[in-house]
Amino acid sequence: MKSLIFALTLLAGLPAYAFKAGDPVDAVSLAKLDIDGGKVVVLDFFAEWCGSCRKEIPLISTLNTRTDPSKVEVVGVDVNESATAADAFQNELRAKNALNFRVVNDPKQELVAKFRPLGFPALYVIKDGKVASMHIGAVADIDKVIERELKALGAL
Amino acid sequence: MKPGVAVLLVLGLSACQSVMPWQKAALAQDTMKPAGPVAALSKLDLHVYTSKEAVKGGTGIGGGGCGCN
Amino acid sequence: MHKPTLMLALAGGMALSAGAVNAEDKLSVQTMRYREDDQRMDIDYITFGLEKDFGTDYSLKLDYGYDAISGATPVWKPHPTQVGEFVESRQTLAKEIRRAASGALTLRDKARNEYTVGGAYSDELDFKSAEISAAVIFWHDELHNRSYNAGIGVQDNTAIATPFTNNARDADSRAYNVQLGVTEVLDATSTLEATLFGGRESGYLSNHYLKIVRLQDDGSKLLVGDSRPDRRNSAGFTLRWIRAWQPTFTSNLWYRYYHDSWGINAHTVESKLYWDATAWLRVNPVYRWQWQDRANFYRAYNGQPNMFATTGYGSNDARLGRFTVQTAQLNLEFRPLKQHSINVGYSHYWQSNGFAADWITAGYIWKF
Repeated sequence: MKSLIFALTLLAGLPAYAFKAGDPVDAVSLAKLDIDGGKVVVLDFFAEWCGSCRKEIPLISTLNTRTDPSKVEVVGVDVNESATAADAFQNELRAKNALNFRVVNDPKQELVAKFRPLGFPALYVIKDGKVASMHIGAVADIDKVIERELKALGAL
Repeated sequence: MKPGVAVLLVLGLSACQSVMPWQKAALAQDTMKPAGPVAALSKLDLHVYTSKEAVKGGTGIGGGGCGCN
Repeated sequence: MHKPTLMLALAGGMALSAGAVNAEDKLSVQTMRYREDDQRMDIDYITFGLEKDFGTDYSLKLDYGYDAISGATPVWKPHPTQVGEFVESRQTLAKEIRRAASGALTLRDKARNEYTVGGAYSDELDFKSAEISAAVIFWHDELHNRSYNAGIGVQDNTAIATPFTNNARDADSRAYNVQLGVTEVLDATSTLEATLFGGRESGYLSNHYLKIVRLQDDGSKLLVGDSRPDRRNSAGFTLRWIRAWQPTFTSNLWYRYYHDSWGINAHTVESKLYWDATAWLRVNPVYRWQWQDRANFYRAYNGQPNMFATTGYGSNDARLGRFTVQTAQLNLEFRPLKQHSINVGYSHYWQSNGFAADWITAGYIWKF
């Protein structure tokens, strides 16, 4: 029985989300993201090599044009281990008007490791320093999904 | 249950080594695809092999294939 | 490539490996010039491909190919002077055109499992083929470090009768193929894929051009059509290990074991290396080696004996013989601009029975 408990502990030690809906985000991460506590934040983790991320970024950018900047802020986190490659990728997207929100580079992958999303792309909606919702993995029409959530949170 | 058995059982349930989603930059490279970055080249080769050899199979199921005989 | 007896290039268009949404849509054109060393057969091939994603959940793949085939195949012909004797000769083929089209649609669910349906069709003067297939990929774990795949394909083939074929009427055959596999992410730079595959063909599986000579009890010789069993069951397994040693250097090693009810066993090994020499040049050497045993009813043209008894199966088709075969290939991929790539390649192919061929490829891919 003891060994079974040990085994289950091991199992419990396997990857798990750091944050789920309702959990507060740690202060260090909030500071790194430079998040304004008064706004609802849409946090989008992405990387150049993630195909679905490339599909979602333009949609999130479209959503960004429909929100009130005093109530909602969209923040991207580029987890590329090369900050140079990350910048090049973002510049390419900005040139195509496919990216219009602020991006924090996370080349050491500290931020993403804190959030521990179990899939990519990873999108979090954060309100009052707490995770209001999250979307892990590719989501069709992500802009509309987030728009509905922002409305429900009274931010749109 | 012997501890070793239990541990093996649990390890067997998990993947070999848990690679987190944000650690997959190398795995996402086009050279990591089974057919390589230019998949059509493998198809052209198969076109020759299937018509000059008696062996076939194990290279995927049709559908997107060249449809050649 | 006009070989009815060797149907099915299950060309892996529906790659049964951990799929992902592509970063870009692709339009590609690839061309190939294939020449056999003794000018037996020449093939010029062109294929157009489109890969298009619709949102994050649907992917469409379409291919259209066109070949022009000319040359000759070895056949038995009556001896020019000796009545009742036969000699090895060649049958010249008229220039033939073969067209092939295929398509596959993939749907992904919320857990990113994939469901693909596909169809393929090809026709030429003396052969046509239609295929439908379905495949699924299921993720074992939330982290997507292991996936299981399964696929099935059904192909209907018709060997169309012409004035030059052994049959005066069209002859049909059907082939079922299944594949089951697992792909495991070993670590952040390598994957291992293992598959089991099986096939079952039934119907007319002989070559409708080739002939054999049967030695009659009275010593006379009779020229008849190549004759093979009307059923062929095959099975085997594959292993593929891909590893990115450096961001600019990847190796892809593949092994296949094959066995079928005609007595053919085979081992195939293929090694592909990818080296990004510069930001715009990728060098890709490929080496493939295969050994195959002969079908139990095969006899070589130049072997002894090379004729057959009055009854039983028989074929002189060299492709059913015992040989080792090697391919050495070098491909270069130029990417002067991010969205455009040009590839060129040269391949040399040689079998231990003396047969050899070369082909060059050139292609262009536009990512949009």
